[in-house]
Amino acid sequence: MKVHDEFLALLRPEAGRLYRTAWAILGNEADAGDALQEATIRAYNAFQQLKGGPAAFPMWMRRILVNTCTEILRRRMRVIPVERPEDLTEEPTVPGVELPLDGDVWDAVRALDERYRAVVVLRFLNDMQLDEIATALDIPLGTVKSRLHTALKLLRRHLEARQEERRGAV
Amino acid sequence: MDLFSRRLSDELKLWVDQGVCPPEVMEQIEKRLRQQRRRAFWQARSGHLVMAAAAAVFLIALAGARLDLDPQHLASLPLVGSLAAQFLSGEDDELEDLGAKAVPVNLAAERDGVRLVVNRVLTTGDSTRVQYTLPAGTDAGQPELRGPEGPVWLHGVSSRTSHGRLVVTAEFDPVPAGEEVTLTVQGISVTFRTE
Repeated sequence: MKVHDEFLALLRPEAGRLYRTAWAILGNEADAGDALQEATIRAYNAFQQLKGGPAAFPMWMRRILVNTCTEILRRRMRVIPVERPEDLTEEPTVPGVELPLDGDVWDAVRALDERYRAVVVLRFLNDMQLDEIATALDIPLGTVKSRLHTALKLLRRHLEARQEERRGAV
Repeated sequence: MDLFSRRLSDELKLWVDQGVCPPEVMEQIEKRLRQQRRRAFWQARSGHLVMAAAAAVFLIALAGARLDLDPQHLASLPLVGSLAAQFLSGEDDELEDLGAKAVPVNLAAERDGVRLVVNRVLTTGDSTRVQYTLPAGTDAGQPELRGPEGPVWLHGVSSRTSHGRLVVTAEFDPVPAGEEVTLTVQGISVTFRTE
């Protein structure tokens, strides 16, 4: 009983962030809910292995959730056709930084194709390195770079268009 | 990371920080956790029950060995008696090595303090094998098997000592299933049916 209550007490304050993390990675709320449930059961079963006490719980739980989500993505991505090779750069960058990064960002990220959205979220939300993303999604490092490069270009285009729309409306 | 990427990262993190888990998802999670807790509880209990049963079998068998009880008497004990009896009699599945299931007989006869217990019988296309036990130190002797057609040819005998008993396996010519046969060892006879 004690372990169960302790686990729930740690989970509840994190649930919102965890839910949105799963949503960002998987792209829809239904899958996010399922993934969060699955990750929670895994974490509950491994709760005795948590080191560092309650302070370590959020990161630990988040890692389990991200692993659960990337497993789901790996299964999904097996049926997605391989994209054409893109221009590869070591550290993808996007020129023109004067972008209206406001509440539209999530909408722009969400509108990306899953292949692109996944690498963007893992890189910029979960701060994963490119090689970690490659391992997590079971794809070559070059593919990660390629997808990230394309994703950033698409995001920039999307956000610029939104900005233009707003200017036009004013 | 350039400025665009940094701001992208900040915006995504802000969006996540503002998240609220839908009540129905949280409810479902709590429900599954309760189920998981119950499952863990019963798994732990069943583990304890298995341990307790194993300990009971061992203790009963140990007591039986010390008191020199017959495995058949132990077998009559409720719940774990038959397991304890098997443990005490030292019957292993050597008759099942042939790939067929040996049939338990568990019939006994006694003469002059020597107790003969026929444990199992197995008939295959090549032979009929009978496993029986005698007190340790007893001469395994020359077992005789008699069926409706008369004496059955003995192929050979092997024996070993286990848990204070001599466990003997005698191999005879095959006897058809369902025949009534009599095994005689040291002048003690046990009649049973082949399977």
